[in-house]
Amino acid sequence: MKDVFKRFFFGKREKYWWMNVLVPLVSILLAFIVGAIFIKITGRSPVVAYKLLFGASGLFPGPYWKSHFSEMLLSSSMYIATGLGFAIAAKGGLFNIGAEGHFIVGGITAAYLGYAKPFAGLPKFIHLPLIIVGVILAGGIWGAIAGYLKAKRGIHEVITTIMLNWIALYLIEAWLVIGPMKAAVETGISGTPYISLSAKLPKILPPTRLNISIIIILAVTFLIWYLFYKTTFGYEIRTMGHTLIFGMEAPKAAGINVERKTIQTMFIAGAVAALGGAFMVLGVLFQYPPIFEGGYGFDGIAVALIGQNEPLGVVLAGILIGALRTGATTVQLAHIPKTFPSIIEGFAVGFIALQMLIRYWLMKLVRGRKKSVQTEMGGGAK
Amino acid sequence: MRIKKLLVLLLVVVMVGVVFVGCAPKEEEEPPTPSIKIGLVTDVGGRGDRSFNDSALRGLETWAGKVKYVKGGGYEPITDAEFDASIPEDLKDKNIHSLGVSAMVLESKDKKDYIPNIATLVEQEKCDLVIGVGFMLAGAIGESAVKYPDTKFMLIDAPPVDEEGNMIDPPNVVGYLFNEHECGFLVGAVAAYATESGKVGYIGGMPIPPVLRYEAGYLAGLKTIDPSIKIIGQYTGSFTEPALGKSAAESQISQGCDVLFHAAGATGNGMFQSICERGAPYWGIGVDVDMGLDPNLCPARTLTSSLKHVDYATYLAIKNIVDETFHSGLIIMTLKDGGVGYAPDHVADALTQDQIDKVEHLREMMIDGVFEVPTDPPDVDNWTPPTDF
Repeated sequence: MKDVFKRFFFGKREKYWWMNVLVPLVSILLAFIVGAIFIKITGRSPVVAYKLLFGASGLFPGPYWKSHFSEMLLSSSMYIATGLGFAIAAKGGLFNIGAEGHFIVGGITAAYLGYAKPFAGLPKFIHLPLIIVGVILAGGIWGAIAGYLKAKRGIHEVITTIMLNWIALYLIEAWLVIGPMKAAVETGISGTPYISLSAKLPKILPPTRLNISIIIILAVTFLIWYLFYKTTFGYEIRTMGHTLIFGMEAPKAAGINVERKTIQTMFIAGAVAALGGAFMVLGVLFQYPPIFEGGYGFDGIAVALIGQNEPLGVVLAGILIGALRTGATTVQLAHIPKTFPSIIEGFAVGFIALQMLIRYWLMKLVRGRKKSVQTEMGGGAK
Repeated sequence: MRIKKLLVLLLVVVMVGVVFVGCAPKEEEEPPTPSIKIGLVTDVGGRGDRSFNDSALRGLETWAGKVKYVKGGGYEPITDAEFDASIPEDLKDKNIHSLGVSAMVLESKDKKDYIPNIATLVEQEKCDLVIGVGFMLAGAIGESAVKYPDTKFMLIDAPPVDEEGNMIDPPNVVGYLFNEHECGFLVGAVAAYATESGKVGYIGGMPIPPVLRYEAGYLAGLKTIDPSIKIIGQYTGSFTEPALGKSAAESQISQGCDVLFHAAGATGNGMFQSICERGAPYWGIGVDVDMGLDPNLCPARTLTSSLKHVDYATYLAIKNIVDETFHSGLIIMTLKDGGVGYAPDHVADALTQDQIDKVEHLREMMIDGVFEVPTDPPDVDNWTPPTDF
């Protein structure tokens, strides 16, 4: 059992593989403790706040659980998508800030294919897969642009992905949504027209609006895991990630086409993040609104960091963040600002950034102080 | 060494313990809740946007509930003097008084939050009326109204729509629209008299119907007073980014504009920042609420503000619930019934009495229906302005 779990979970054959699970958990716990102190400082009750937060998060059964649960999974599917977008690139040694851009490119593509005439009349079982394929291509190409610039021109992906985010935003919000894709004035709708019935993601838990997005993203997560840990392709990408600091000389020497792999990695990252935008448009908004202001792309970075860039970790972190966000609006009933859960998220990321320190402490706790911790962690050379 | 560590650990545990224990028994006593409960869902702009959402919150919290929001959360009652001070000049005669309702406000962090927020207010808080602030909630209010037929809804700035985006008219929703072109016309007229360079600027957020009505009215007002005035207009594409508003204002000023009007929400705060840095002779015109009263903007150089009384509309909708005179449908707030107007701010400093009288005369003509102002900016070109005022 242990062996199976360990391999499925991280695919790593480290001695202290469970450290990779424990460190994020401890970080999250610390974040909640610091969050409690913050609430206390502002003169409110952390008990009430956390009770409301988790009561409405959808994680635990309780009143109105069904609707909270469905809202949580709806949010989570989008956070998992953008989190994977970051994590996939990170596996290949790329720091992808572009998930926000991929997300909105996915959203606008889904909206267009959802309402545009030749597609809108198709039956659902053709129309919906067609939209998903379109979204994957659009998001993937948007991601691959940054990959191409990195591979062929050596421009750092942090710069290009940030710039491409803005290009996507203004192409969409300052041109498409108020220009060619604008809904007719008579309809009184701001933004693009609404998508046709056949483009909507089927609901799976009526009367809530939970739809199949969570199933799609779980399947995608499994595919990504399989790709990384069961195929040569994934192995090559991981090799690039591991040797990043040495300019990827080792994979090059081993005959890996690093340039091509970089472009492919960014394509996959962009495609997965774009799915999140499609979920938003096809399952929640049913149109591309004049102002999107999502932020899912940037939260995806937090999700990936908390999830340690591992597919399963991203899923769990995505569910955690989705739950926090779902409970977030309810803490307002206790007169706690809606941004409070973001503070917890921020602290969790902060503690993850300190993970070497936390790891060091935990190791000390576990092993006592007799042996050198450095060697235990496999980091020190003897 | 070990003891020291244990001590530190102990200290941490005790501190965390204190945090939790210290507050556990302090179950706050609920104040006796008034019978009528009004819920409000803001759009993503949220509390503190100094314009649209804050205006609706004034109608609900300050007027209908007679409480004020304590920064960070919670309400406390306000005095009669504070209450009177919160009512703008042009609404003094509307007999606004406390309705004794209790308010429950949920802010939205994300577009996805609208429907769950409404559901929380309806299901958990059992609100009698749920108010959706802004056109972004049109779909959420439309869907929820069908789902909860026993709850009343109010939607500001748009008619409700269903999941396919078709306008619907459920029996439990009232929508409030505003004649922004009428107040835009009046500030346009004021701007035309105030400009010395003969060039004025316009900064829009996004070209959505209410903002387009503002623009059309503004253009028509300028054309009425002086057709030769040059207008430099621009849309920033955002309602939330003051930096964009500032750069737009800088560019318009550098092209010679000396009076600037914005209909861009918080983006327009940047315009006032730019004007404040330069001082005279530049004037800014505020939007939605009386921005000349806002010490955080630029009261010294705020010429006037085009008022859109979202607060009054909110108050009226709540009053209809209290008086049990609720009617569904669309209500259009006009200049005539006090729904829109312009603020006096510095009008008397920039205009002569004769000019002010003319603007007031135009206002009365509009109320009497002598002429109509176009609602779409392209229509202004073919529109014949009134002449005898």
